[in-house]
Amino acid sequence: MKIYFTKKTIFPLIIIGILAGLILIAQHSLSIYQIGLLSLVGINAILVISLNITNGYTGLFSLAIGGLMGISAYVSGLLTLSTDYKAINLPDLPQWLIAAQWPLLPALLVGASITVVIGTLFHWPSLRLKGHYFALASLAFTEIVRLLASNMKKITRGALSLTGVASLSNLWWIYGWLVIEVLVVIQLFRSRHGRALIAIRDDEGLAQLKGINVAFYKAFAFMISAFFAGVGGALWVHYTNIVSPSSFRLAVIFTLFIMFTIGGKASISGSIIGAVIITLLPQILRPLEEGSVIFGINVPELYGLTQLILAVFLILLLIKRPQGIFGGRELSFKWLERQFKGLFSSD
Amino acid sequence: MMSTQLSTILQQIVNALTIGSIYALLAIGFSMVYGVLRLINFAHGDVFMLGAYFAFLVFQALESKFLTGILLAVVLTGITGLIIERAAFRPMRGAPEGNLFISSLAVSMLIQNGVIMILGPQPQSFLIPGFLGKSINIGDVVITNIAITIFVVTIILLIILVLFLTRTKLGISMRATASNLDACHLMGINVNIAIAVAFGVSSLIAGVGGILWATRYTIFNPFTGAVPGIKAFIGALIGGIGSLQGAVIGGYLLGMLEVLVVILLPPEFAGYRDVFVFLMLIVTLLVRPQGIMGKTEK
Repeated sequence: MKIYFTKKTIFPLIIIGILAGLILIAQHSLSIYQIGLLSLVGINAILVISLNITNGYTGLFSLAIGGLMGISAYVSGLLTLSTDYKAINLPDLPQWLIAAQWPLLPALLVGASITVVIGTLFHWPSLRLKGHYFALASLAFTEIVRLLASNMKKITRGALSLTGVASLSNLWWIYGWLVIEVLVVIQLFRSRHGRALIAIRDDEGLAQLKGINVAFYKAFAFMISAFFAGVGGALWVHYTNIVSPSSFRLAVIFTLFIMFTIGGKASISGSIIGAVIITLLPQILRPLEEGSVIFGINVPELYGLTQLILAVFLILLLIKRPQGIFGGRELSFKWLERQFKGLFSSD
Repeated sequence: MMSTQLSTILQQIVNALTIGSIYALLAIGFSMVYGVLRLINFAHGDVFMLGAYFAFLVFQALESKFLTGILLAVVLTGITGLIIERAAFRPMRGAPEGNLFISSLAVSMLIQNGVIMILGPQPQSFLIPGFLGKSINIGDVVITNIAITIFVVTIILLIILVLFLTRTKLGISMRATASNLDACHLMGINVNIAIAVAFGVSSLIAGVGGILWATRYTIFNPFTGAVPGIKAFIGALIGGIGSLQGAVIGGYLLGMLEVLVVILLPPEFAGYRDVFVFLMLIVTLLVRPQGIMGKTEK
């Protein structure tokens, strides 16, 4: 008889079980605002891990995530929007699209798939570029998506933005997709294919000499990353209910990059913790930004303070600990133990 | 009388030269910093924007004459460049390209949000002397004094820059650092000073560019630098990054391209103008990544 419940399979199952329990508790005991924050943490974690697949594991420095999110947000948003809204606000859409009012899952899958197709086709020729040349090509992608979104007014309403997208994302969808993404990434980087990607990151020339098809694997990593960026974008638009061209400007990508840098390259747990810290930090700083009385001192309104502090924080992090908090390792009890031992043995 | 078609074309050439001059000034800075550090300095566009804001502040605080005020603003911008290099880039010398790039992104956010925090996000403007607002008409072609000023200032700056790079010890050591950093260490050139000079000079020039931009478009806001910054970088890349002539050629080419797209495309597609700029970037990266004047990197 085959043994299905080995240590390897039972551990993730326990974690998924605990997570499901936590979501149940959260839904019944937390306020709507807190559930919203929790949703945002999950969506950001999905996006940061997607960023980590290309920028962390494969060494493909990509800024395409804004454009990828954008395509998926618009496509899935258009598919789930109510027929009435589209008939009034977007009368130039084809009839079948106006009539379509899909549930979340198919819209999300179609959005993410279209994201993969467009993103990969656009990046296909530039995948052979190295370092920041590829970064520039991917930045051009994000900017072109943004420019098209603000100019194709018959489909996107341009700067008026697509409003009224239903709140279809909930904690189950968001954390369900996060679990799927984490499992895919873990399985991938345990496999031959994942090791090929890491080899390309560490030494592209050597990887090629060893017979790794560099072009194929880069495209492969980009596609997986694009898919989950698409998933994140679709979940995001069904959480915020609105999408406009400025939703994907550089400041948004910048925030994802801070989360990524905090977590460190090639670390899933790092990415998740980065997402938690940077999503919650602005909530703590918000009272400062809006001006209030703190410790008896009148603090004037300081718009932009959150971004300013994040920027300083990122520069300090890059100087003091460029490898991130976990530096390519995963959070584990063994790792924590070693850190604590290190703390105590140093004196 | 000139035919209207010819005068339209001439008018557009004037526009292309004006906007191209500003792109060229910015592109030179990108090129110099890339030369010494292999860094795509994302904050350069924001330093450009700071130039305009410094001028605005100087005029408000000192009520000084136009020229002295501008000189002061340009010097302040240059000092900002030195501070940025010292605080954000020198401590991470030798880090991977990606880290430097993210750091420059952080500096860009820092500058934008700093300005928003102190002066607010609303657009600002400063008073420009009356003679700059006047214009010369040649047939149907209108040449504003601002356009002439922008072009002349750019040419003068370019001449000074070439003299600086070829005739002074600092300039030569900067070029040497750009061509081979390790050899410079061995030859006893102070690389830190050379890199700082590259930042200082590129920020000075960007400051001039920002003030010229502000006089041409009269208003500016904390995000003014972002789009010209990216475009000028594309110009520097098309011209051949690391090459001074390349940056100038690229800047003017980009000005030409923008104007051409406006002439050739029907008006309802005017919003797509920048799409062509980015497509041009992709094509350059694929066909000739070293740019027009650049040499292939080993």
